[in-house]
Amino acid sequence: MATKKISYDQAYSELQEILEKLENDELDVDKLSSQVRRASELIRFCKSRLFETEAEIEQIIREMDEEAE
Amino acid sequence: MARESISLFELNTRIKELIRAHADPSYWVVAEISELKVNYSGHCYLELIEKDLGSERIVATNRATIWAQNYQMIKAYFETTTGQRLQEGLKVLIKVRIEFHELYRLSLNVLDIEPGYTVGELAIQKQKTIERLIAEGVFDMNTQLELPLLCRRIAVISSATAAGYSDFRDQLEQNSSGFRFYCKLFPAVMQGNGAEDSIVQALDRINTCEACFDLVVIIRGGGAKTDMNCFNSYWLAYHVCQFPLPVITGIGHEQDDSIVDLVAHTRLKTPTAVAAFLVDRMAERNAELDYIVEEITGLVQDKVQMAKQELARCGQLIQLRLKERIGRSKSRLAHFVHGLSIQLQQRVRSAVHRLEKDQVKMAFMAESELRSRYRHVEISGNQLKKGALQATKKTAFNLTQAENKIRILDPQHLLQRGYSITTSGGVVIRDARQLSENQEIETCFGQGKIVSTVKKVNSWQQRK
Repeated sequence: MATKKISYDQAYSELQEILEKLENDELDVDKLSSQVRRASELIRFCKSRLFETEAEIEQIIREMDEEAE
Repeated sequence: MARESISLFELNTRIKELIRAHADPSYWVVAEISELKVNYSGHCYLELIEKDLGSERIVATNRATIWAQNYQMIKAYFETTTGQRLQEGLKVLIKVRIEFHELYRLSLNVLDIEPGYTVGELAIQKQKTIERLIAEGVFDMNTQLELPLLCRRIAVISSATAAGYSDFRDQLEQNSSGFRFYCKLFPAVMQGNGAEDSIVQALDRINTCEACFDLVVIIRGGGAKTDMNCFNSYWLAYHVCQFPLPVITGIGHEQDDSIVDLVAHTRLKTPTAVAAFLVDRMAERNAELDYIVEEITGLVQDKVQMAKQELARCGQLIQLRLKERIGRSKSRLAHFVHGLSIQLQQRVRSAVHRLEKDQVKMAFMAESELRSRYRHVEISGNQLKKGALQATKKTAFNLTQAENKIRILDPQHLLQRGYSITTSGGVVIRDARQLSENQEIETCFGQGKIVSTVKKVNSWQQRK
Protein backbone atom coordinates (compact mmCIF):
# COMPACT_ATOMS: atom_id res chain seq x y z
CA MET A 1 0.00 0.00 0.00
CA ALA A 2 1.69 3.15 -1.14
CA THR A 3 0.81 6.54 0.28
CA LYS A 4 1.88 8.40 -2.83
CA LYS A 5 -1.43 8.78 -4.55
CA ILE A 6 -3.71 9.39 -1.61
CA SER A 7 -4.80 12.75 -0.27
CA TYR A 8 -4.26 14.01 3.25
CA ASP A 9 -7.97 13.60 3.98
CA GLN A 10 -7.88 9.98 2.83
CA ALA A 11 -4.75 9.28 4.84
CA TYR A 12 -6.26 10.90 7.92
CA SER A 13 -9.53 8.99 7.65
CA GLU A 14 -7.57 5.75 7.23
CA LEU A 15 -5.64 6.62 10.39
CA GLN A 16 -8.90 7.18 12.23
CA GLU A 17 -10.17 3.83 11.00
CA ILE A 18 -7.10 2.10 12.36
CA LEU A 19 -7.49 3.91 15.66
CA GLU A 20 -11.16 2.97 15.78
CA LYS A 21 -10.37 -0.66 15.09
CA LEU A 22 -7.82 -0.57 17.87
CA GLU A 23 -10.25 1.10 20.25
CA ASN A 24 -12.96 -1.44 19.43
CA ASP A 25 -10.45 -4.22 19.85
CA GLU A 26 -11.04 -5.46 16.33
CA LEU A 27 -7.42 -6.24 15.60
CA ASP A 28 -5.84 -9.49 16.64
CA VAL A 29 -2.18 -9.58 17.50
CA ASP A 30 -1.28 -10.88 14.03
CA LYS A 31 -2.89 -7.96 12.20
CA LEU A 32 -1.63 -5.53 14.79
CA SER A 33 1.90 -5.18 13.47
CA SER A 34 0.86 -4.62 9.85
CA GLN A 35 -1.73 -2.05 10.89
CA VAL A 36 0.72 -0.26 13.14
CA ARG A 37 3.23 -0.21 10.33
CA ARG A 38 0.57 1.26 8.02
CA ALA A 39 -0.35 3.84 10.63
CA SER A 40 3.21 5.01 11.02
CA GLU A 41 3.50 5.26 7.24
CA LEU A 42 0.35 7.39 7.13
CA ILE A 43 1.53 9.57 10.00
CA ARG A 44 4.80 10.15 8.21
CA PHE A 45 2.91 11.06 5.06
CA CYS A 46 0.57 13.46 6.89
CA LYS A 47 3.40 15.10 8.81
CA SER A 48 5.31 15.63 5.59
CA ARG A 49 2.27 17.42 4.19
CA LEU A 50 2.28 19.76 7.18
CA PHE A 51 5.97 20.52 7.34
CA GLU A 52 7.73 19.64 4.12
CA THR A 53 7.97 21.56 0.89
CA GLU A 54 6.30 19.91 -2.03
CA ALA A 55 8.25 20.64 -5.17
CA GLU A 56 5.22 19.84 -7.32
CA ILE A 57 3.12 22.64 -5.80
CA GLU A 58 5.95 25.13 -6.01
CA GLN A 59 6.39 24.21 -9.65
CA ILE A 60 2.68 24.79 -10.38
CA ILE A 61 2.73 28.20 -8.71
CA ARG A 62 5.94 29.12 -10.52
CA GLU A 63 4.33 28.22 -13.84
CA MET A 64 1.26 30.31 -13.02
CA ASP A 65 3.48 33.29 -12.24
CA GLU A 66 5.34 32.79 -15.51
CA GLU A 67 2.06 32.71 -17.44
CA ALA A 68 0.85 35.89 -15.73
CA GLU A 69 3.98 37.69 -16.85
CA MET B 1 -45.54 96.44 -32.86
CA ALA B 2 -43.89 96.88 -29.64
CA ARG B 3 -44.84 94.42 -26.91
CA GLU B 4 -44.19 94.93 -23.27
CA SER B 5 -41.18 92.87 -22.32
CA ILE B 6 -38.52 92.37 -19.70
CA SER B 7 -35.00 91.22 -19.94
CA LEU B 8 -33.90 87.72 -19.03
CA PHE B 9 -31.98 89.10 -16.12
CA GLU B 10 -35.08 90.90 -14.91
CA LEU B 11 -37.09 87.68 -15.25
CA ASN B 12 -34.49 85.73 -13.32
CA THR B 13 -34.52 88.42 -10.66
CA ARG B 14 -38.28 88.06 -10.36
CA ILE B 15 -37.98 84.27 -10.13
CA LYS B 16 -35.39 84.75 -7.46
CA GLU B 17 -37.71 87.11 -5.59
CA LEU B 18 -40.64 84.74 -5.99
CA ILE B 19 -38.67 81.88 -4.57
CA ARG B 20 -37.36 83.99 -1.75
CA ALA B 21 -40.88 85.16 -0.95
CA HIS B 22 -42.60 81.83 -1.13
CA ALA B 23 -40.08 79.14 -0.36
CA ASP B 24 -39.37 77.96 3.17
CA PRO B 25 -35.93 78.84 4.52
CA SER B 26 -34.93 75.20 4.17
CA TYR B 27 -36.24 71.73 3.34
CA TRP B 28 -35.22 68.23 4.37
CA VAL B 29 -34.95 66.32 1.11
CA VAL B 30 -34.38 62.66 0.33
CA ALA B 31 -32.33 62.09 -2.79
CA GLU B 32 -29.77 59.80 -4.33
CA ILE B 33 -26.36 61.13 -5.26
CA SER B 34 -25.65 60.33 -8.86
CA GLU B 35 -22.54 62.45 -9.22
CA LEU B 36 -20.17 64.01 -6.75
CA LYS B 37 -17.25 66.27 -7.54
CA VAL B 38 -15.01 68.29 -5.27
CA ASN B 39 -13.18 71.12 -6.94
CA TYR B 40 -9.77 72.61 -6.17
CA SER B 41 -11.17 75.08 -3.66
CA GLY B 42 -12.93 72.36 -1.68
CA HIS B 43 -16.49 73.04 -2.80
CA CYS B 44 -18.55 69.97 -3.47
CA TYR B 45 -20.90 69.75 -6.47
CA LEU B 46 -23.59 67.08 -6.52
CA GLU B 47 -26.10 65.75 -8.99
CA LEU B 48 -29.18 64.52 -7.14
CA ILE B 49 -31.73 62.20 -8.62
CA GLU B 50 -34.86 60.36 -7.64
CA LYS B 51 -35.80 57.06 -9.20
CA ASP B 52 -39.23 55.56 -9.49
CA LEU B 53 -39.34 52.76 -6.97
CA GLY B 54 -40.74 50.18 -9.35
CA SER B 55 -39.25 51.03 -12.72
CA GLU B 56 -35.97 52.57 -11.52
CA ARG B 57 -36.67 55.38 -14.04
CA ILE B 58 -35.35 58.77 -13.06
CA VAL B 59 -38.26 60.99 -12.22
CA ALA B 60 -36.45 64.08 -10.84
CA THR B 61 -33.01 65.66 -10.90
CA ASN B 62 -31.38 68.68 -9.38
CA ARG B 63 -28.02 70.19 -8.70
CA ALA B 64 -26.69 70.77 -5.25
CA THR B 65 -23.64 72.36 -3.77
CA ILE B 66 -21.91 71.94 -0.45
CA TRP B 67 -19.69 74.91 0.11
CA ALA B 68 -16.18 74.13 1.23
CA GLN B 69 -16.55 75.21 4.89
CA ASN B 70 -19.69 73.10 5.20
CA TYR B 71 -18.40 70.20 3.19
CA GLN B 72 -15.51 69.40 5.58
CA MET B 73 -17.88 69.23 8.50
CA ILE B 74 -20.66 67.30 6.72
CA LYS B 75 -18.24 64.81 5.21
CA ALA B 76 -16.58 64.01 8.54
CA TYR B 77 -19.90 63.72 10.32
CA PHE B 78 -21.34 61.49 7.63
CA GLU B 79 -18.37 59.19 7.38
CA THR B 80 -17.81 58.68 11.08
CA THR B 81 -21.48 57.92 11.57
CA THR B 82 -22.08 55.64 8.58
CA GLY B 83 -18.66 54.18 8.04
CA GLN B 84 -19.27 55.13 4.46
CA ARG B 85 -17.65 57.65 2.26
CA LEU B 86 -20.03 60.25 0.96
CA GLN B 87 -20.17 59.13 -2.66
CA GLU B 88 -22.20 58.29 -5.71
CA GLY B 89 -24.95 55.76 -5.31
CA LEU B 90 -25.83 56.71 -1.75
CA LYS B 91 -29.26 57.82 -0.72
CA VAL B 92 -29.05 60.79 1.60
CA LEU B 93 -31.32 62.93 3.71
CA ILE B 94 -30.10 66.52 3.40
CA LYS B 95 -31.22 69.89 4.57
CA VAL B 96 -31.23 72.29 1.62
CA ARG B 97 -32.06 75.84 0.87
CA ILE B 98 -33.32 76.63 -2.59
CA GLU B 99 -31.11 79.19 -4.23
CA PHE B 100 -31.64 80.87 -7.51
CA HIS B 101 -28.92 82.85 -9.14
CA GLU B 102 -29.54 84.89 -12.22
CA LEU B 103 -26.47 83.49 -13.89
CA TYR B 104 -26.16 80.01 -12.35
CA ARG B 105 -29.86 79.15 -12.20
CA LEU B 106 -31.43 76.94 -9.62
CA SER B 107 -29.29 75.05 -7.18
CA LEU B 108 -29.72 73.52 -3.75
CA ASN B 109 -27.40 74.68 -1.07
CA VAL B 110 -26.75 71.78 1.28
CA LEU B 111 -26.76 72.97 4.86
CA ASP B 112 -26.88 69.75 6.82
CA ILE B 113 -27.09 65.98 6.48
CA GLU B 114 -28.77 63.17 8.45
CA PRO B 115 -26.38 60.19 8.25
CA GLY B 116 -28.83 57.96 10.14
CA TYR B 117 -31.04 57.93 7.11
CA THR B 118 -28.25 56.62 4.88
CA VAL B 119 -27.34 54.00 7.47
CA GLY B 120 -30.90 52.76 7.45
CA GLU B 121 -31.15 53.02 3.72
CA LEU B 122 -27.92 51.05 3.28
CA ALA B 123 -29.16 48.46 5.70
CA ILE B 124 -32.35 48.16 3.71
CA GLN B 125 -30.38 47.87 0.49
CA LYS B 126 -28.11 45.32 2.06
CA GLN B 127 -31.07 43.40 3.34
CA LYS B 128 -32.58 43.48 -0.12
CA THR B 129 -29.35 42.10 -1.60
CA ILE B 130 -29.26 39.38 1.03
CA GLU B 131 -32.87 38.49 0.34
CA ARG B 132 -32.13 38.33 -3.35
CA LEU B 133 -29.17 36.00 -2.81
CA ILE B 134 -31.30 33.82 -0.57
CA ALA B 135 -34.14 33.82 -3.09
CA GLU B 136 -31.70 32.71 -5.75
CA GLY B 137 -30.58 29.89 -3.51
CA VAL B 138 -26.92 30.87 -3.46
CA PHE B 139 -26.58 32.74 -0.18
CA ASP B 140 -25.13 29.90 1.93
CA MET B 141 -23.48 27.91 -0.84
CA ASN B 142 -19.96 28.86 0.13
CA THR B 143 -20.55 28.45 3.85
CA GLN B 144 -21.77 24.94 3.16
CA LEU B 145 -18.49 23.95 1.57
CA GLU B 146 -16.21 22.06 3.86
CA LEU B 147 -12.76 23.43 4.47
CA PRO B 148 -10.29 20.73 3.53
CA LEU B 149 -8.32 19.34 6.47
CA LEU B 150 -5.21 20.82 4.98
CA CYS B 151 -5.46 24.52 4.07
CA ARG B 152 -2.01 25.25 2.77
CA ARG B 153 -2.39 26.06 -0.92
CA ILE B 154 -3.82 29.53 -0.77
CA ALA B 155 -5.10 31.71 -3.58
CA VAL B 156 -4.88 35.25 -2.28
CA ILE B 157 -6.92 38.12 -3.66
CA SER B 158 -5.37 41.37 -2.56
CA SER B 159 -3.68 44.43 -3.83
CA ALA B 160 -0.05 43.44 -4.41
CA THR B 161 1.23 46.47 -2.58
CA ALA B 162 -1.11 46.37 0.40
CA ALA B 163 0.56 46.26 3.79
CA GLY B 164 -2.06 43.71 4.80
CA TYR B 165 -0.87 41.33 2.13
CA SER B 166 2.79 41.38 3.17
CA ASP B 167 1.75 41.00 6.83
CA PHE B 168 -0.30 37.99 5.81
CA ARG B 169 2.57 36.37 3.92
CA ASP B 170 5.11 37.11 6.63
CA GLN B 171 2.93 35.58 9.25
CA LEU B 172 2.36 32.41 7.23
CA GLU B 173 5.97 31.97 6.18
CA GLN B 174 7.44 32.69 9.58
CA ASN B 175 5.06 30.62 11.66
CA SER B 176 6.93 29.29 14.67
CA SER B 177 5.90 25.68 14.13
CA GLY B 178 7.43 25.46 10.67
CA PHE B 179 4.23 24.64 8.82
CA ARG B 180 4.56 24.93 5.08
CA PHE B 181 2.15 27.16 3.14
CA TYR B 182 1.95 28.04 -0.55
CA CYS B 183 0.58 31.46 -1.47
CA LYS B 184 -0.30 32.63 -4.93
CA LEU B 185 -1.40 36.21 -5.31
CA PHE B 186 -4.20 37.11 -7.71
CA PRO B 187 -3.89 40.87 -7.64
CA ALA B 188 -7.01 43.03 -7.65
CA VAL B 189 -8.04 46.58 -6.97
CA MET B 190 -9.55 46.49 -3.53
CA GLN B 191 -11.27 49.86 -3.29
CA GLY B 192 -13.01 52.49 -5.37
CA ASN B 193 -15.13 52.12 -8.41
CA GLY B 194 -13.21 49.36 -10.17
CA ALA B 195 -12.93 47.10 -7.14
CA GLU B 196 -16.04 45.03 -7.73
CA ASP B 197 -15.11 44.03 -11.28
CA SER B 198 -11.45 43.58 -10.43
CA ILE B 199 -12.18 41.16 -7.58
CA VAL B 200 -14.68 39.24 -9.69
CA GLN B 201 -12.03 38.90 -12.41
CA ALA B 202 -9.52 37.60 -9.88
CA LEU B 203 -12.06 35.00 -8.75
CA ASP B 204 -12.57 33.99 -12.37
CA ARG B 205 -8.84 33.51 -12.81
CA ILE B 206 -8.64 31.31 -9.72
CA ASN B 207 -11.59 29.33 -10.98
CA THR B 208 -9.60 28.20 -14.01
CA CYS B 209 -7.03 26.46 -11.78
CA GLU B 210 -9.27 25.76 -8.83
CA ALA B 211 -7.84 22.24 -8.32
CA CYS B 212 -4.44 23.72 -7.42
CA PHE B 213 -5.77 25.47 -4.33
CA ASP B 214 -7.38 24.56 -1.03
CA LEU B 215 -9.09 27.88 -0.47
CA VAL B 216 -9.37 31.54 -1.44
CA VAL B 217 -8.44 34.36 0.87
CA ILE B 218 -9.71 37.88 0.18
CA ILE B 219 -7.71 40.36 2.19
CA ARG B 220 -7.48 44.04 2.34
CA GLY B 221 -5.56 46.12 4.77
CA GLY B 222 -4.25 49.61 5.09
CA GLY B 223 -6.84 51.21 2.79
CA ALA B 224 -9.53 53.70 3.67
CA LYS B 225 -11.86 52.21 6.22
CA THR B 226 -14.80 53.87 4.62
CA ASP B 227 -14.41 52.46 1.18
CA MET B 228 -16.20 49.17 1.64
CA ASN B 229 -19.05 49.51 -0.80
CA CYS B 230 -17.78 46.93 -3.25
CA PHE B 231 -18.02 44.25 -0.55
CA ASN B 232 -21.72 44.89 -0.34
CA SER B 233 -22.21 44.54 -4.05
CA TYR B 234 -24.63 41.95 -5.23
CA TRP B 235 -22.46 40.87 -8.12
CA LEU B 236 -19.34 40.21 -6.08
CA ALA B 237 -21.32 38.48 -3.36
CA TYR B 238 -23.03 36.36 -6.01
CA HIS B 239 -19.60 35.18 -7.25
CA VAL B 240 -18.26 34.48 -3.79
CA CYS B 241 -21.39 32.46 -2.92
CA GLN B 242 -20.96 30.15 -5.84
CA PHE B 243 -17.21 29.88 -5.77
CA PRO B 244 -16.17 26.21 -5.70
CA LEU B 245 -13.48 26.78 -3.06
CA PRO B 246 -14.11 28.03 0.47
CA VAL B 247 -13.52 31.77 0.70
CA ILE B 248 -12.08 33.37 3.81
CA THR B 249 -12.30 37.15 4.19
CA GLY B 250 -10.03 39.46 6.08
CA ILE B 251 -11.12 42.79 4.72
CA GLY B 252 -10.54 44.69 7.90
CA HIS B 253 -13.34 46.97 8.91
CA GLU B 254 -14.88 47.75 12.21
CA GLN B 255 -18.47 48.24 11.11
CA ASP B 256 -21.05 45.59 10.34
CA ASP B 257 -20.10 42.65 8.26
CA SER B 258 -20.27 43.27 4.54
CA ILE B 259 -22.33 40.98 2.39
CA VAL B 260 -19.17 39.31 1.10
CA ASP B 261 -18.28 38.62 4.74
CA LEU B 262 -21.71 37.13 5.29
CA VAL B 263 -21.59 34.79 2.32
CA ALA B 264 -17.94 33.84 2.68
CA HIS B 265 -17.12 30.51 4.26
CA THR B 266 -15.28 32.17 7.14
CA ARG B 267 -15.20 35.81 8.03
CA LEU B 268 -12.23 37.25 9.89
CA LYS B 269 -11.39 40.85 10.65
CA THR B 270 -7.87 41.31 9.36
CA PRO B 271 -5.32 39.65 7.09
CA THR B 272 -3.26 38.82 10.18
CA ALA B 273 -6.27 37.12 11.72
CA VAL B 274 -6.65 35.02 8.55
CA ALA B 275 -2.99 34.01 8.71
CA ALA B 276 -3.35 33.12 12.39
CA PHE B 277 -6.46 31.09 11.60
CA LEU B 278 -4.60 29.11 8.93
CA VAL B 279 -1.60 28.49 11.16
CA ASP B 280 -3.92 27.39 13.98
CA ARG B 281 -5.65 25.03 11.62
CA MET B 282 -2.35 23.40 10.73
CA ALA B 283 -1.53 23.21 14.43
CA GLU B 284 -4.86 21.44 14.95
CA ARG B 285 -3.94 18.93 12.23
CA ASN B 286 -0.58 18.41 13.88
CA ALA B 287 -2.16 17.95 17.29
CA GLU B 288 -4.65 15.47 15.82
CA LEU B 289 -1.80 13.45 14.36
CA ASP B 290 0.09 13.55 17.65
CA TYR B 291 -3.05 12.46 19.43
CA ILE B 292 -3.49 9.53 17.05
CA VAL B 293 0.15 8.52 17.49
CA GLU B 294 -0.27 8.68 21.26
CA GLU B 295 -3.54 6.76 21.20
CA ILE B 296 -2.28 4.08 18.87
CA THR B 297 0.93 3.69 20.86
CA GLY B 298 -1.01 3.44 24.09
CA LEU B 299 -3.57 1.01 22.73
CA VAL B 300 -0.92 -1.17 21.13
CA GLN B 301 1.08 -1.23 24.34
CA ASP B 302 -2.05 -2.16 26.27
CA LYS B 303 -2.86 -4.85 23.78
CA VAL B 304 0.62 -6.30 23.82
CA GLN B 305 0.62 -6.12 27.61
CA MET B 306 -2.73 -7.89 27.70
CA ALA B 307 -1.54 -10.55 25.29
CA LYS B 308 1.53 -11.06 27.46
CA GLN B 309 -0.56 -11.41 30.58
CA GLU B 310 -2.89 -13.78 28.77
CA LEU B 311 0.09 -15.83 27.68
CA ALA B 312 1.49 -15.85 31.19
CA ARG B 313 -1.90 -16.90 32.54
CA CYS B 314 -2.13 -19.66 29.94
CA GLY B 315 1.38 -20.75 30.84
CA GLN B 316 0.50 -20.91 34.49
CA LEU B 317 -2.70 -22.76 33.72
CA ILE B 318 -0.85 -25.26 31.57
CA GLN B 319 1.72 -25.74 34.30
CA LEU B 320 -1.02 -26.25 36.84
CA ARG B 321 -2.90 -28.71 34.64
CA LEU B 322 0.35 -30.47 33.89
CA LYS B 323 1.15 -30.76 37.57
CA GLU B 324 -2.32 -32.11 38.24
CA ARG B 325 -1.97 -34.58 35.40
CA ILE B 326 1.49 -35.65 36.54
CA GLY B 327 0.21 -35.97 40.10
CA ARG B 328 -2.68 -38.13 38.95
CA SER B 329 -0.41 -40.22 36.76
CA LYS B 330 2.05 -40.61 39.60
CA SER B 331 -0.59 -41.79 42.00
CA ARG B 332 -2.03 -44.11 39.36
CA LEU B 333 1.43 -45.42 38.71
CA ALA B 334 2.09 -45.88 42.42
CA HIS B 335 -1.21 -47.65 42.72
CA PHE B 336 -0.33 -49.83 39.78
CA VAL B 337 3.16 -50.50 41.11
CA HIS B 338 1.67 -51.40 44.47
CA GLY B 339 -0.81 -53.77 42.80
CA LEU B 340 1.95 -55.15 40.68
CA SER B 341 4.19 -55.80 43.65
CA ILE B 342 1.38 -57.51 45.51
CA GLN B 343 0.67 -59.63 42.46
CA LEU B 344 4.32 -60.28 42.03
CA GLN B 345 4.71 -61.26 45.64
CA GLN B 346 1.74 -63.57 45.34
CA ARG B 347 3.15 -65.02 42.18
CA VAL B 348 6.58 -65.38 43.69
CA ARG B 349 5.07 -66.92 46.73
CA SER B 350 2.99 -69.36 44.72
CA ALA B 351 5.99 -70.07 42.51
CA VAL B 352 8.11 -70.64 45.56
CA HIS B 353 5.38 -72.82 46.95
CA ARG B 354 5.22 -74.74 43.69
CA LEU B 355 8.95 -74.96 43.65
CA GLU B 356 9.02 -76.27 47.17
CA LYS B 357 6.44 -78.84 46.21
CA ASP B 358 8.39 -79.71 43.12
CA GLN B 359 11.55 -79.86 45.15
CA VAL B 360 10.06 -82.43 47.53
CA LYS B 361 8.66 -84.34 44.60
CA MET B 362 11.90 -84.09 42.78
CA ALA B 363 13.87 -85.13 45.83
CA PHE B 364 11.60 -88.07 46.25
CA MET B 365 11.78 -88.90 42.55
CA ALA B 366 15.51 -88.41 42.55
CA GLU B 367 15.86 -90.62 45.54
CA SER B 368 13.80 -93.42 44.03
CA GLU B 369 15.53 -92.90 40.73
CA LEU B 370 18.83 -92.93 42.50
CA ARG B 371 17.79 -96.02 44.35
CA SER B 372 16.69 -97.82 41.20
CA ARG B 373 19.82 -96.62 39.40
CA TYR B 374 21.89 -97.75 42.31
CA ARG B 375 20.33 -101.18 42.10
CA HIS B 376 20.85 -101.17 38.40
CA VAL B 377 24.44 -100.16 38.88
CA GLU B 378 24.90 -102.88 41.45
CA ILE B 379 23.52 -105.44 39.08
CA SER B 380 25.56 -104.02 36.27
CA GLY B 381 28.62 -104.01 38.51
CA ASN B 382 28.19 -107.69 39.27
CA GLN B 383 27.56 -108.45 35.64
CA LEU B 384 30.52 -106.32 34.69
CA LYS B 385 32.71 -108.03 37.22
CA LYS B 386 31.61 -111.42 35.91
CA GLY B 387 31.92 -110.35 32.27
CA ALA B 388 35.27 -108.78 32.92
CA LEU B 389 36.52 -111.90 34.51
CA GLN B 390 35.30 -113.98 31.62
CA ALA B 391 36.69 -111.51 29.12
CA THR B 392 40.01 -111.47 30.89
CA LYS B 393 40.18 -115.15 30.81
CA LYS B 394 39.21 -115.28 27.16
CA THR B 395 41.66 -112.57 26.31
CA ALA B 396 44.41 -114.39 28.11
CA PHE B 397 43.65 -117.54 26.11
CA ASN B 398 43.45 -115.56 22.89
CA LEU B 399 46.74 -113.92 23.69
CA THR B 400 48.42 -117.27 24.22
CA GLN B 401 47.01 -118.48 20.94
CA ALA B 402 48.13 -115.38 19.15
CA GLU B 403 51.53 -115.69 20.69
CA ASN B 404 51.80 -119.15 19.39
CA LYS B 405 50.58 -118.06 15.95
CA ILE B 406 52.99 -115.20 15.92
CA ARG B 407 55.79 -117.51 16.97
CA ILE B 408 54.97 -119.91 14.12
CA LEU B 409 54.76 -117.01 11.68
CA ASP B 410 58.06 -115.43 12.74
CA PRO B 411 60.34 -115.39 9.63
CA GLN B 412 63.23 -116.38 11.87
CA HIS B 413 61.29 -119.42 12.88
CA LEU B 414 60.58 -120.14 9.22
CA LEU B 415 64.20 -119.50 8.38
CA GLN B 416 65.14 -121.92 11.11
CA ARG B 417 62.90 -124.47 9.45
CA GLY B 418 64.89 -124.11 6.24
CA TYR B 419 63.21 -121.35 4.31
CA SER B 420 65.25 -118.40 3.03
CA ILE B 421 64.54 -114.92 1.90
CA THR B 422 66.02 -113.41 -1.18
CA THR B 423 66.33 -109.68 -1.61
CA SER B 424 67.88 -107.46 -4.19
CA GLY B 425 68.62 -103.83 -3.36
CA GLY B 426 66.47 -104.24 -0.20
CA VAL B 427 63.46 -105.51 -2.18
CA VAL B 428 62.08 -108.97 -1.28
CA ILE B 429 62.05 -111.17 -4.31
CA ARG B 430 58.88 -113.16 -4.66
CA ASP B 431 59.00 -113.79 -8.41
CA ALA B 432 61.97 -114.80 -10.46
CA ARG B 433 60.90 -112.34 -13.12
CA GLN B 434 61.84 -109.60 -10.73
CA LEU B 435 65.41 -110.50 -11.46
CA SER B 436 67.65 -110.35 -14.45
CA GLU B 437 70.93 -112.11 -15.28
CA ASN B 438 74.11 -110.99 -13.50
CA GLN B 439 72.00 -109.13 -10.91
CA GLU B 440 73.39 -109.36 -7.41
CA ILE B 441 71.03 -110.93 -4.85
CA GLU B 442 71.19 -111.43 -1.08
CA THR B 443 69.89 -114.58 0.52
CA CYS B 444 69.10 -114.74 4.22
CA PHE B 445 69.09 -118.08 6.13
CA GLY B 446 68.24 -119.13 9.61
CA GLN B 447 71.84 -118.53 10.36
CA GLY B 448 73.71 -115.92 8.17
CA LYS B 449 73.37 -114.78 4.58
CA ILE B 450 75.03 -114.91 1.26
CA VAL B 451 75.45 -112.62 -1.73
CA SER B 452 75.32 -114.25 -5.16
CA THR B 453 74.98 -113.42 -8.83
CA VAL B 454 72.04 -114.64 -10.94
CA LYS B 455 73.18 -116.94 -13.71
CA LYS B 456 69.91 -117.72 -15.27
CA VAL B 457 66.26 -116.80 -14.73
CA ASN B 458 63.61 -119.49 -15.16
CA SER B 459 60.03 -118.47 -14.63
CA TRP B 460 57.42 -121.06 -13.73
CA GLN B 461 55.75 -120.33 -17.02
CA GLN B 462 58.82 -121.12 -19.03
CA ARG B 463 59.09 -124.37 -17.09
CA LYS B 464 55.68 -125.33 -18.15
